[in-house]
This record gives sequence, structure tokens and C-alpha cells, in this order.
Amino acid sequence: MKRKKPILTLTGLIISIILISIWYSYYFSFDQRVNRILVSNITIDSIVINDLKTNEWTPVTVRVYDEGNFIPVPNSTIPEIYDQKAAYFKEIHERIIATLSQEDFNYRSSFMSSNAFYGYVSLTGLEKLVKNPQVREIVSSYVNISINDPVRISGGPIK
Amino acid sequence: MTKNLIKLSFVSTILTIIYFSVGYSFEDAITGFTIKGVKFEPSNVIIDPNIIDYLEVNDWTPVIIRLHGDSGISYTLDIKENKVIYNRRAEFFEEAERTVLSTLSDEDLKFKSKFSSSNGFSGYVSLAGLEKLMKNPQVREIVSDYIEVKAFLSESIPLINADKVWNVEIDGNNITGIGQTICVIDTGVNSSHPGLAGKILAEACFCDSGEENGTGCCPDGNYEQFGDGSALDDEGHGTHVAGIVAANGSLKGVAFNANIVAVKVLDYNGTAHKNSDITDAIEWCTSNAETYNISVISMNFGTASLFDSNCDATYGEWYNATIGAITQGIFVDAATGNNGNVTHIAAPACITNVTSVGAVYDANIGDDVSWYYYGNYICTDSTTYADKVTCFSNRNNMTDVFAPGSEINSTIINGSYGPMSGTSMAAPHVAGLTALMKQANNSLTPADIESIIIRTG
Repeated sequence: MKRKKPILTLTGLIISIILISIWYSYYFSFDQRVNRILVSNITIDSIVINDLKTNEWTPVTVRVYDEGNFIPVPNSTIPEIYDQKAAYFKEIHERIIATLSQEDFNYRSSFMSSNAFYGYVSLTGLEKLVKNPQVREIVSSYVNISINDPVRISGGPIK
Repeated sequence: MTKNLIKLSFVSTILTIIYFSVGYSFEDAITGFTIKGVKFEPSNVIIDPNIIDYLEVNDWTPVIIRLHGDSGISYTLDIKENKVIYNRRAEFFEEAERTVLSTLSDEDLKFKSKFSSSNGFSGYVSLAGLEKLMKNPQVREIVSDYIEVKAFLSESIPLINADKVWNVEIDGNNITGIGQTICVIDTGVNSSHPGLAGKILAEACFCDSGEENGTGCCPDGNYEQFGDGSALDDEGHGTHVAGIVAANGSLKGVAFNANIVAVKVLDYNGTAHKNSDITDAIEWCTSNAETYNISVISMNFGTASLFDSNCDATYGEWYNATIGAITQGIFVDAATGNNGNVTHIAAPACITNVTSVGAVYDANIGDDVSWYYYGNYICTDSTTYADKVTCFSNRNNMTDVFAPGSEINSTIINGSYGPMSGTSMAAPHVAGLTALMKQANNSLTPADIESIIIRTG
């Protein structure tokens, strides 16, 4: 009986490792990570999630809660207030971006007229952003814009 | 049209050569000169040297005679009152014109037309007539009318009455967009086009082609670029749009003395992929408005998604950016799109404070006119006439104004001139018109301008 103890211990260890591996792979699977992201209070554009299924990065606009601390310098002109508010927004954005690594977020620009910034996010970046209480919404930056000018090919003399 | 352009270019070239070879200047003219042996004494009348050249070889030359004195009656913000003021000013000018004309015989001047909106008249002057006019203290300036004989945007400029506004003079300047700058957010501009040369005050590019590694569709391959050459047009659309607004070559734009700030957001296919580029572009124009005196932002593109109500929430950053511009007095307009949709329009035209512009014909261009986009049929208009809404124009109850957008001649990327159609061609007419209005009255707000355009058609 005494001889079997090491075998049991070894078997238990292997089973434990397998169980931990299963749990680990399940817990950190894409779907689980996405599920945890989606149950957060932050609104996330489904395009962002779908894009991350096939791509490492996706372009997003991160909309941020206004802290309500903006006070314009007295006697400022409207363009001056515009610039002051842009600087106020940028400071908030920089604090959020500072919590992200280069593997999380590829920062592009900070909007001047909206409390939002733009860049490319990875899944790990998305996970971090949804935990940030300052983040209000994450929407895809993809847009389909064109000029689609029509051409006349019949009727009257063509110029 | 092409033949006329060639003729005009030829005449302009010849005139330029003559002008420089003879070496006359305005200063020479007012210090005395000789034509056909007749000596003209120094005079306070400013004379266009082209007139001297023409009369050297011709008996008559077409001129515009500008007179001293303004009516002293200024326009107001009240459109109805302005109509009365316009007539009172015309009466004043007519009296002054009559006085000067009474001093001239048929051998002196072949009268052509009087101006209702400025103190002057036009006609063909002879050497004898020039002598008399030079001695008349009422005459301020005599300029060649050849410069007024120029090709402009086919029928579209007369349709919006821009050419009439050009003759209105305020503070000694004709209303041609002087001092105004339009920020054209588009594919960029060919800044070396003869019709646009010297008009591009600044350039920027926000063009993210969709790669996270920092590449983009700006001329240097980045997703952002600033400075000369950063809004280099590689598609042609922006160059055409800029020409409609402000070309000043053999073809004249609506506000041909206005300047352009070019911001490239569309790639060589005429597409944009990231909505942040548009936000960045609007914000860049706004934050540089004081530096370049930007009074208008014109966006002549649209989303594939169309909207039957405002799209402020969907494009929140665009909405905020346009609010930022408008609160600083910058007028923002956008094309409604060319899908032929009668209930939905594209973004950014669907944003609440953006003036959305649909397209109309500027003339009868024929019957059964069919419109296509890359081989895809859009629609057919069985008849066409000036002011008829084009069938390709998206429009709904959010569409604020209509402007000419059918086969509009303007600057082409290769340095020539040619026609393009679309609501993209309509919106720059409104942008140019706004520049004219801002020059006339800089205190007009974007809401005032939209209201005036809507009320006066």
C-alpha cells in the first residue's frame, strides 16, 4: 500500500494539471473574454467584437465620461474656450491611455470637440478599457464614405 | 466650350505678352501716355493699360467706366428692406451715369449697359471718348471689359446670381470672396492648377487607410500629414470642388477671389474608411479658422448609410465638431448624396446644424437623361430644365437647399477644365455663395446665411 502512494500523488498531479489547463483555456478563450467584456456597463459596438475575431487590432473611438470639471478662463473668446476644452479633454484621455500598453492600444488622435479619442485596440486593450470607470462607450471607427458622383450616359448631347 | 477656352487662353497670352513688352503700368497711365500720336496728359483717372494697347491698333475697345461716389445707402440684414435699398441705389447710380453719358457723343462711346448695383457703365470707347472721359472729374477708373468676357461655370453661376453679386461693390471692393477662405474637405487639391494657383493657403491630410501600423493614404504614406503637398489630390474630385468655389483662371468659380484651405480625407478611390478622419478634419479647420480666416467648411462626400432623420447620435463626434465650427461663426455644408433617394440623405448632410445641399439642373440638357454610377443605373429624368431637381439627388425634408449639380464645368486634376455631376458639385456653389455673403457682411451667422439662402432661393 505504501508503494502506491507516489503513483496516486503523481496521478492526482496530472489530473490537476489537466483540469487547470481546461479551466485556463476555457477562462481565457476568446468567447469567455468577450463575454466578460460584454457584461460590463460599457456599451461596445458589435462591429468591434466581430472584427477582433479575425483581426488582432480594430479601429475604435473611445467615448469618455465627462468629469464636469471644465471651467473656462474668465473673459475668454469662443475660440479660446474651444482650445481650453480641447486641452481639458486631452488631459482626461492621456490619463486613460497611460493605463494601456502598446500591445493594448495604438493611439491615433484625441478629439477637440468631443470627449473621445481614437486608435486601434487589441482584445487585451479592450479588456482593460471596459474595466476603466471613465470609459463610457467604445464604437467602431469604420465608416464607408464615398463620393459616388453620377455620370450621364444618355439623353441630350454628352459634354 | 473648349474652343472658347482655347481662344480665351490665346487672347490672354497675347495680351500678357503685349502688356509686358510695352511695359505700361497703371502708374504710367496716370502719369500720361500717348496713343496713335495723341498725347494724354496726367490724370487722376486710373486707366487699364490694356485699353491703351487696344486703341493703338483698334478704333474702339470695350470698357467699364467706374465713377466716383457711392450712394451712401448701405444694405441691412432685412431682405425686404434690401430690395428697396437696391432700387434706391440703382436710381442714384443711374443719375450719375446719365450725367457722364451726356458729355459723350456717338463718336466717343457706344453705350452698352448701365449697372444697377454699382456706380458705372459699360460700352465701347474711341480715342476721342477716352480723352473726354480722362478729363471728367466724375470718372474714377476705366478698365478693359475684355477681362469681364470670361468663361465661367456654364449656366450655374448665373442661376445662383453670383455674377450679379460680383458687380456689387462694398467699401471699394467687388463682392467676389475677397478675404474669405473655404476649407474644402475632400480628396485634396491640385494646387498647381492654373485656376487655383496661389489660392491654397494651407494643406492638411487625415487619411487612415485602415492599417494599425501607422500607414495611411496621405501623400507621404502616413495617416496624418501637414504642410505644402499634404493635400495633394490623387483622385480629382477635390480639385473640381475647389474650382467651383474659387477658381480664378479662364474659368471663374462662385467666389473667385476667395482662398482655399485643402484638407485631404478621401483616398485615390474617393473613399474614406475612418470616421475619425472627418472629425479631425473639421476640428483642424475650426482650430485654424482665425489663422486663415476660414468662414466656410464644405464637405462633398457621404456615407453609404442613408438617414431619414438626423444622424447626430450615430455620428456624435461629427456632430460635436460641426457645433464647434458653427459656434465660431463657420458655415458648414455637405452634399446629400447621389443615390436618387427621396426619403433619405447621407451623413454628414443629415447632421442637424449642417446645411444639406441637393442638386438641380442649371439648364435644359436634353430629354430622357439617364444617370449611372460605375455602370449601375441610378435614374432617368424625362425632361431637364433650370432649377429642376436632378433625379440622382438624395433629398428629404432635411434637405435645406438645392444648387446646380449637373455637368458643372470646373478645374480638372490634369490642369484643364471639364464637367462633373453630383450633389458634390452643388454644395460648393453654396459654399462659394456663403463666402460672398460673408464678405458683404461678416457679422452674418451660419443660421442667418442658411435662412437668407432658403428665403431668397
